[in-house]
Amino acid sequence: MKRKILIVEDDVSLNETVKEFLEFNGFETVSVCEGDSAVNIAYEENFDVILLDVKLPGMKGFDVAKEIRSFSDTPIIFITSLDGEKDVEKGFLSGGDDYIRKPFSLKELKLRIDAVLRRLYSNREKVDLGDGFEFDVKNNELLKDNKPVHLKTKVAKLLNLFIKHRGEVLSKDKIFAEIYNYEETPNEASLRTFVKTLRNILGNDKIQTIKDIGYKFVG
Amino acid sequence: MSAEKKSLRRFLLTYLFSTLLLIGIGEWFYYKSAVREIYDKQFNYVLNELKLAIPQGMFGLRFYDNKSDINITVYKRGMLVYGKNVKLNNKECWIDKGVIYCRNELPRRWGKIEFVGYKKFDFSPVDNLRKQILLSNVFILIFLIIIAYVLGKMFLKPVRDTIKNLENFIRDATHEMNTPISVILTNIEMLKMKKIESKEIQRIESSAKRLEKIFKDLTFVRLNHNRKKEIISVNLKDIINERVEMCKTFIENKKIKIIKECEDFVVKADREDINRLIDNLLSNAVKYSPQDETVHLSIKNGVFCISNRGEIKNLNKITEKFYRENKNEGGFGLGLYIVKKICENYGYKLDIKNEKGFVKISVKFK
Repeated sequence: MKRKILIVEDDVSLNETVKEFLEFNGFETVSVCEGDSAVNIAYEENFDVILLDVKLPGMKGFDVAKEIRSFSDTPIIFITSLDGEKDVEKGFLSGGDDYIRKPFSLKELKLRIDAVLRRLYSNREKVDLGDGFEFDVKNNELLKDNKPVHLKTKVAKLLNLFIKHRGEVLSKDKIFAEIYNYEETPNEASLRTFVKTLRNILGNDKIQTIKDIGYKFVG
Repeated sequence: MSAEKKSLRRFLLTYLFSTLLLIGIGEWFYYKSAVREIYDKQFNYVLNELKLAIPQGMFGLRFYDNKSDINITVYKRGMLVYGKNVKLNNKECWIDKGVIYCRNELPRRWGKIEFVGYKKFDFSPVDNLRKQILLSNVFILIFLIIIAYVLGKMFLKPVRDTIKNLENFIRDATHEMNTPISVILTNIEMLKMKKIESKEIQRIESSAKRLEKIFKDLTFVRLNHNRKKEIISVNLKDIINERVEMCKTFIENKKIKIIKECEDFVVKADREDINRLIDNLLSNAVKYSPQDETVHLSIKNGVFCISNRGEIKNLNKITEKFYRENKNEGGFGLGLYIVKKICENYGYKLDIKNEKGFVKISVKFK
């Protein structure tokens, strides 16, 4: 499954370049130019990383980050300029995970994105799930003996969520918010099916049901 | 901003110095005359008391009931007849070792009688006067400083506004350059990634890189003080290779050969700072070397060394801001200034010298 990145940058040329570059490197991207539309789209869809320009028309980048933080913990990388360094601290305070200074090279951008993604999985490239199963962080894939296992989109999203929150209890609401988009209607029965699918692949004991609350991944 | 502070300080010092000098002279004269007055008063007192006492002791030349607080000594034809011996003086009033003496002579037929009244000089009025003057001086000084500060601010306001405008303009200008430079550089990167290459693109790239360097140097000089440093471990060898690769087109255009002898060496510093350091030294070496020459680069035992053919005429001034030795070459005169600043910042030792027709620059990382 492709990683999905939200690009928020008001300069159209730069926005397009970054978008094209990331797509070239196997990411799925959505790009917007304004702060409020960034907040809206981050609310409606789920992203793996958000690239956020600090200087946006209308809403300020930091405020956008704060708003997004109120409902999502998607990693945010700020795009700042060399002369806005005092702002960097403000950026981290408003919930940013990293920052990159303009003018930057695309290589550096890619490195930063990879690093932020890796950090989500405790800095590992691959997460060992036992019984020959591994999760490839970079490509967002489940591997069995180094061969990719095909999963349906929602199941893959669920697995991804479980791995990010290993050993934590995940409420059903949280799971719904992460794997369903805004316009889709969450469905408890299908969630049960997804969990069953994962249990069939990874083993029954990997996912515990916490009654009336949700699930816990202990793989 | 520092220029403004400098002129404010100069103004303040000149103003304070001249005013204090003037006030000081005035005070000196006042002090002198006030002290004179205090002396005169005490002389007069002793003289008066003496005169009052004389009729009493006229006949027996004894002062049995001298109610006054002065002491009296009497000489008859130069012979001590009463009181303690005192050192005589031919003045009417004099002062000796903090004691006031006054003399009154009565000429008689059998010879003159000299009455000398004396009393310890009372220093407390002088002390009080000094204290008063000192206290008023403190007030005057405070007052003057306030006035000078207000005046200075007032006079310098137009200058300050101009400087501020200029700073804002430079900041906005550099800021506005940010995004276009990013777009140019990233798109060149994209073209390379797609393996689209041509001479034209290479030329655009080298010019864009130059623009980027100028831009980064400018922002460094203007904004270094409030830039957040990200201290990480960087391998100098990697950075040097990267920087040489960056300048490739520029180096090739001048037909310069680069000879590298680099060991791995890791320093803890902000990557951008090390980039600026190496970039500036490298581009200077290439820029000021004649065509078809060799530039030597090396890292050995933590010392980075770069040399190119040429000579620096004014070694003392070469690291000054905006100093340019060769006005024919483009630039702002910032390169070595930036290098010096970075070295000072991290405590690296920078050494620049001419050696047998070569300019040799070394940085000792420690």
